[in-house]
Amino acid sequence: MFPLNDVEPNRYGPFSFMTLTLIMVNLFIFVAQQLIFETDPHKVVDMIWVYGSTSGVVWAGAGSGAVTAISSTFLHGSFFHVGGNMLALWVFGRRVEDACGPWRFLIFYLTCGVTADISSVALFGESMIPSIGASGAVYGVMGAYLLLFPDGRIRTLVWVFVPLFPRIRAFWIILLFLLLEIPPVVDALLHGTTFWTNHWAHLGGFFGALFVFLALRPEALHRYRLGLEV
Amino acid sequence: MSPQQLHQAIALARAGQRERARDLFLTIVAADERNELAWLWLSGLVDDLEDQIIALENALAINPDNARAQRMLAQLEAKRPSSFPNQRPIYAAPPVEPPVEPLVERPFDGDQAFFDHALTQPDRNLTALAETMVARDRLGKAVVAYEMALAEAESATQRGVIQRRLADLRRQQALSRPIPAHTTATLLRVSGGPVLLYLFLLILHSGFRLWPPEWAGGLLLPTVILGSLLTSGAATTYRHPLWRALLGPPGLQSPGLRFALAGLGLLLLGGSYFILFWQAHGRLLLYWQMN
Repeated sequence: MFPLNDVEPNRYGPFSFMTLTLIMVNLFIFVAQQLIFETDPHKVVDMIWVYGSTSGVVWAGAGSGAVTAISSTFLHGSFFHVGGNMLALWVFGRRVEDACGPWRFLIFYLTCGVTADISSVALFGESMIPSIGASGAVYGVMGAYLLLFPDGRIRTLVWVFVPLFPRIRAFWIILLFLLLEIPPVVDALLHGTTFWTNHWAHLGGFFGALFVFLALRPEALHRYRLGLEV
Repeated sequence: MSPQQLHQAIALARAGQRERARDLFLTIVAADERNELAWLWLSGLVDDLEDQIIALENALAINPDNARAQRMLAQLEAKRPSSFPNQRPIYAAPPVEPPVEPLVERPFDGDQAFFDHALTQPDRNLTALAETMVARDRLGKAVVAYEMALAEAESATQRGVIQRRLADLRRQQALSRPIPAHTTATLLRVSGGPVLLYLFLLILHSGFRLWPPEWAGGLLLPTVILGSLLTSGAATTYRHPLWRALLGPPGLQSPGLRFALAGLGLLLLGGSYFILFWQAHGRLLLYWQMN
């Protein structure tokens, strides 16, 4: 199941400039990574080691956390990694940015990324495996979408023998994504199982969604308080 | 009448250009006599007491629930000199009254008359009357009619339906009131984001050891707070009374001053973030070179 597009229009402005800019920056960095990889693969590996978020380095007090918490959200490992994250950012970020305004949305997006990183670093302790990807921040944006537009409808690709494109309530899609995160997190907590995907960071980012209330436009918060669609 | 005209008139009034603002508001109410906000503003811009009262009465004719207009009208009524006809002693000779030209003729409120008439009918249908009032954009009257319908409802189902509609109408009423965008809560809320982000980065920068604070925390955190307050205050809450207290009566109306203050705030914010990243990046590279 792939969410493809939010079918509802913007309320406050026609163009979600910051969401598109973030997508462009992420794609640009990924393309640059691939070009460098073609000439010198070691450089890309080194780049991921240095600018990915490594819990052991942060705990060592090497002073890197402030940089890697941000830089790691702009690095991706594969086309599907960056493609999936950017698609989700486009689907859920457009209207969240509309409700916040572009600059406050940028602060909110980065805060979600850092919240995801803090929870991941706190859990993995001495681990020396670097963590990269925008998914923590994107989960934060999804959480904000759930808070602000629970009735929003998302055009979704569902493959049941043939491709179908129903409009599904955001509530169900985000709930499904969230539920898929819980078993691996419980497994990691109880048995110390390691996964390729940093599920704990996804959950951390998701709870960072609460900070969206610091970023909302006054009129959007007013509508939220009145129980109207933001 | 366009919303731009109304915004322009309000901006002129706020900038102290009373005569230009009054002329523009007069144009607005001449084009749209049901503009409650324009009547309210006009009441504060006309010099004659009687004109002020007429403007407020017109605002109240449009929205009888407007508490501010009611309060202002009561204050003006108290100021009314005793020589006005309704308070004139019967034994005194009628004074020579100055010819008071009414500002704009008080409009006949057809909705009010219709509403009062409908309520007196023996076979009245209150929910239909309420919906008629909604269609005529008279939410206050619709709420009154629904409240009466709720009191007269005979079944629990009927009460439930009316209660839901009442809640919806009250939300719509609340939404039509101006948004308190200049409050201290908004200023603190929108300033909180950059500060919180910096605090989180500081936690990671220090490797979860915030005490004793490094200079990045001790010195730069207050700078981030100041920068964030300045930027948010100049960009979002520039009508906050704090600006009038700090800068005198015009407050932060001048776009140039707002731009300058927001720029200063951004400089403080960006500078603090840059110093933190610069230091962290240096330490990061050093760590990887040593390992």
